[in-house]
Amino acid sequence: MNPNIKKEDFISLIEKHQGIIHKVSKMYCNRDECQKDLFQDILVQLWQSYSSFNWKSKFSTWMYRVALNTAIAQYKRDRKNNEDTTQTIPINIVDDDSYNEKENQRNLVHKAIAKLNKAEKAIIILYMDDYSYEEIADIAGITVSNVGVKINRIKHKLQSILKELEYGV
Amino acid sequence: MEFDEIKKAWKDSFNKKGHLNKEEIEAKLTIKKKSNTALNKIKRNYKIDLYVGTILSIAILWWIFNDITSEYKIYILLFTTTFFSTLILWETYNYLKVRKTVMSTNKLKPALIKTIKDIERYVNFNKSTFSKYLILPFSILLGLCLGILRKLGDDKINEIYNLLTIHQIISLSIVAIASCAIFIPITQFYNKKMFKQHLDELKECFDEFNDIEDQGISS
Repeated sequence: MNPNIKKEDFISLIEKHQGIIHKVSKMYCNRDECQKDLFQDILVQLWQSYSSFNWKSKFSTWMYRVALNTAIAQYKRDRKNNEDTTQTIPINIVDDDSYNEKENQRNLVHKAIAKLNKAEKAIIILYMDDYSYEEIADIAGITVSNVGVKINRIKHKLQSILKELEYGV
Repeated sequence: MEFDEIKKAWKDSFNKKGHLNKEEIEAKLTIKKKSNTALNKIKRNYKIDLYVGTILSIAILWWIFNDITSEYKIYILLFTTTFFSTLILWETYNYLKVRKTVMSTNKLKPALIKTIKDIERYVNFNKSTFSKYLILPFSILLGLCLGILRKLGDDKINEIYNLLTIHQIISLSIVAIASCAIFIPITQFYNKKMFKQHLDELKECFDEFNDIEDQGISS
């Protein structure tokens, strides 16, 4: 196979599905610099693993698997800055403008997801991106019944974190 | 907030703004950047160990071959070759095992297990009694012995007493012990700093996945 054609195909696929990399980078890193690093890391890993992709699963499913694996296994040199999940996401609760209200809501959701552990983050990202229980189980390597149970728990956990963030309960 | 609202807010936060075009993606791929996973760091460390170890072994063997005139030269050469070959073969074996791991394409939980195993292999070897109390002190002693043999030249080994005074032997022993006392904590510290903390984090993540399984079973 001509390596240039292969690379072009790969780039087209990435362009189409890059939202996955953006989502994973943002969910696993808070700082801009860390997000950019992780984005590039995922891209490199995807390219290096592309030859092993057998097209038996959807490209996006495979991409999520590589991206989440890279995010979970990423080596953080500056742990303190990366793990301080409560400081870097701005919240502007007092503004009553509708756009800002939505923006606040999004920030709150991001902040709440940042408080989940790595495994919970992986599962909820997939669930919110409309993956089925079977697909989530396939990506995570756990059983379908466990996915269902866990998703319910994460939903409740997220809601209570949000309540805590909104009202300081 | 209802979960549907949470989901909507999350989805809305990822609009197309900031998305890269083909040229930008290609540019990012062209920038030669080393992957930042612990596994890749370990692969690189193994490679460096192998290169440095091979160059050093060849240099030392060359030096023994050319510089030492002792009648035991052939035994020293054989012994040193065996010692370095064993170390290099062991490193190669470990490197090949880690190199096989393409963790990024596996399912998350099995990939995590494999990654933890590979990092543990590296960390455990470096903190093992074998590495701490055998290889390092042994290498230092070997170095000292080679120095003495070089100084002995054609003299018999039992004439070492004419060459070294008790005072010198004590000094050399102190140097050997001090070198071990300095290098062992340094390698341990490096090891812990570089990988132990990361390994603990991965184990924590694995426990989180296990917790998912346990919760599923108990429900």
